[in-house]
Amino acid sequence: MMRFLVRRLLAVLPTLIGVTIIAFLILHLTPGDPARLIGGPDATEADLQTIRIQLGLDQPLLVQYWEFISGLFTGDLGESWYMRVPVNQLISEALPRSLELIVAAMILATVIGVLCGVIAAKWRNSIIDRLTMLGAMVGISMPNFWLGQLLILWISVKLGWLPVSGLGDNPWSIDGLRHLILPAVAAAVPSAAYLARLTRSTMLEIMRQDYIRTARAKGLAEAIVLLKHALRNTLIPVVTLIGMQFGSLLGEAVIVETVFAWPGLGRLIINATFSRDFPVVQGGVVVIAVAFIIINILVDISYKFLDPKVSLDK
Amino acid sequence: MKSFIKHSFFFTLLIGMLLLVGCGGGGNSDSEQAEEPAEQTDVVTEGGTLTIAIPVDIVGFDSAKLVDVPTLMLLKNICENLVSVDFDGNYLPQLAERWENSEDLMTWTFFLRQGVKFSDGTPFNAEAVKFNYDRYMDKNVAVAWSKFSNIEKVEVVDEYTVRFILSKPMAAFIDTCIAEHAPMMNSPEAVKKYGDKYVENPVGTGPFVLKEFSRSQRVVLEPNPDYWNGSVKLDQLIYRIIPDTETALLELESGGVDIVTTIPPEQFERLKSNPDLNIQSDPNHTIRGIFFNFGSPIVQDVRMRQAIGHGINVDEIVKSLCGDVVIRSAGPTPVVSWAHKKDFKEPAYEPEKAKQLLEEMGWKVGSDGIRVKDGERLSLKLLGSNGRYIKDKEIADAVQNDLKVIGIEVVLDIVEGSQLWTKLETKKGFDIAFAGVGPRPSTDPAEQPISVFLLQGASINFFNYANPRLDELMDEANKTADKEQRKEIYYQVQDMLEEEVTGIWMYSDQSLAAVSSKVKGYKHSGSRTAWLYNDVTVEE
Repeated sequence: MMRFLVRRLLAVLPTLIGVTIIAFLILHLTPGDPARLIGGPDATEADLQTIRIQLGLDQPLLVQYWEFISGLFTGDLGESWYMRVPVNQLISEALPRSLELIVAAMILATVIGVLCGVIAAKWRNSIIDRLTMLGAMVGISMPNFWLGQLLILWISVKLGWLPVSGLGDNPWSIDGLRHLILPAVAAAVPSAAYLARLTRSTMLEIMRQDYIRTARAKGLAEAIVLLKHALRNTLIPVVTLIGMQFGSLLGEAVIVETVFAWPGLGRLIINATFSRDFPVVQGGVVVIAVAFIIINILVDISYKFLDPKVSLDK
Repeated sequence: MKSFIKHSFFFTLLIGMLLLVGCGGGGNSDSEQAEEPAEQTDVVTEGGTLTIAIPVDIVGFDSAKLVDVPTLMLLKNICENLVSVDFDGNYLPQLAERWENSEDLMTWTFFLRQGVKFSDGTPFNAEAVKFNYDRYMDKNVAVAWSKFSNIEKVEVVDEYTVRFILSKPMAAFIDTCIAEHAPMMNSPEAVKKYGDKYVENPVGTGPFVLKEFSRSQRVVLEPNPDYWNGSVKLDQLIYRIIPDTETALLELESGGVDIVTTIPPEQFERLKSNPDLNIQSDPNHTIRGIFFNFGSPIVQDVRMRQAIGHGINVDEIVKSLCGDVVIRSAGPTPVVSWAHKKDFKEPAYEPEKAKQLLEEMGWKVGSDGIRVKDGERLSLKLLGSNGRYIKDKEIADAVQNDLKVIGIEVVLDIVEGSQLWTKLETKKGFDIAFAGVGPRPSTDPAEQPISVFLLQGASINFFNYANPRLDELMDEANKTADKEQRKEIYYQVQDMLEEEVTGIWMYSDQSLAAVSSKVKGYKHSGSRTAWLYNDVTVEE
């Protein structure tokens, strides 16, 4: 296991460097002058040049990139040009909120998606199967900002069951959890839909295997056959998809964060992009890349527990 | 089946969720928390809690380092200026009781209120004014330092008298005290004490103090117990950051917030008909329209500019796309400006006249309906934005359609809102642009489009417009404090711009607010930014 971890960590270094280069270049080559946005519409050319010098924008690109990379090695992501606070501080405020939302969404998505997939596979070609897959199709097709607005309109405004938006006072209080439900559902639905479809199709394939026929022939209860034998082998591709969904939600959650006024990392990065706040965007992208890498490593490790035949060291 | 239920922990989850839904009240979110009595202040009020939705993040509280207008507007509850404006746009003494100027308009003396303290207990006086102005003029501290480049020196005359010596005459110097970037009075002791952390710990003389700042979530203000100008009735003033306008309006309708100031045109009528809401409006000092790039050969001829003006149905475009959310405004000064020429003549919508002018200029209709002259198509590049101004992209589309009817091809270059000025700065690559200036709290034409867009050497003269006579007149207006005389000069300027057809002026924004009927004593304003909440209460 240790050898596996060391090998993987060494292998991801080029990926991380590649991510930093791409993020850096895209930011610097995109139209839009950060100095103008910081100085305001009436700023003179003298103002703008002063700002550019203060921000280091007058330096060659290589020098600016080196400043960024060398800061990464020391854990210093720089200071937000717009908010004048350390990027580390901004990310440490926003990241836990994003993680809270994404973890809740993925738990919901996994439970609902896998359950629906199992049910659809068990009652294949029945009305239950068709309704479940129709629901999955709607879940994949519906934009989650639209779903979010619908949830707010019906659950919060018309029925008054849950708050409209915001974080609540304390994420670990009942009030905080009530604030979490709707955004988590809105973020979970597309992932649950994909998971339901994948679980169904993988389970149908597994159910055709000889060992499943053997288990039934031995007189095992259907629930045991499904949940103990078939589901476990279904989970390998499902866990892979869960890992990918988790990673992509880190960036895609910005839509849900905006609709529900959830102050997460996605919103921080998008706002920083619009205000050309390069240190925040660069820092945020690196954090998401690292998170993605960690998730992928965890997914790989989980294969070992799901299938003892899998060896991580090979 | 038993084992299915036994293993299915999702039932437990479902029951848990139902319990959570059942707990607590309805849809109120942060406002529930905010209605708890304020425990840590000696001020006892029963005015309730006012919650305002704002669409953008608050970036910090050091006013010298900010140009972000929403943050500066919020900050005016904590820190005050020397002078503000009232609801009619007249000067309102704030921390300065009165002022006087020398005849040559180069020396301005302010007499300060006495006995005023910052909320940290330190005194407000002339030294504090000098400290703040010096900071605002320091390019290593402030971002808008060049706005004050005309101030040569700030002198402390005595404890409550401060004098500004200017390097050139400026009739509208008072307007630099009321603009959104005007220096706010921060406690010098607090600035020194907190250093870089002052951006999260503002200390001013205003009616409120900062209680809580949760970035990207909310800002909670409480009454300043030592406020010099009476007492505030509210228990708390909360700004909630809700980026999505639809969500903010849903919060308003469910009682989660009390005021929303971003109202999309298409929601205006629906909100007006809601009996639980009051819609308040006040014209902003803004102007939006089509500007001609005088660096482009194709629009050099005034007949071309007239033809374009005659070809665009401005009244219909503004009415159908923006409705009552904006005010149709002709001319380069906003409707509410004291220098606005009410009978400003701009080209009326007369497509036949437009066609006639183009024919006169030798532009003949080609086979595809687009005019051609000497083998060249009559094609204009329109630079516009998406989301910077009200219905900006839709207006660009409408202009494109209107001009096609008279045989002009318009190629749209629509950029994201924050990129527009970056592209305009290049002063090339476009023939016409949909742009604007404002809102500005100042009604003085020195702060309006004529000055900022059309003066040679103006920092944002993006349109290559150069008219020495215009510059002379504007300079002349700046050298006299007599308002009537200045008005006369500005009318002459507008007459000149009428003839030149420097732009197709379309509308002024309105500052709008959808206000819950529970809120009493609130008057929304497009110009006044000070003391807006001093007399406001919120019914339970």
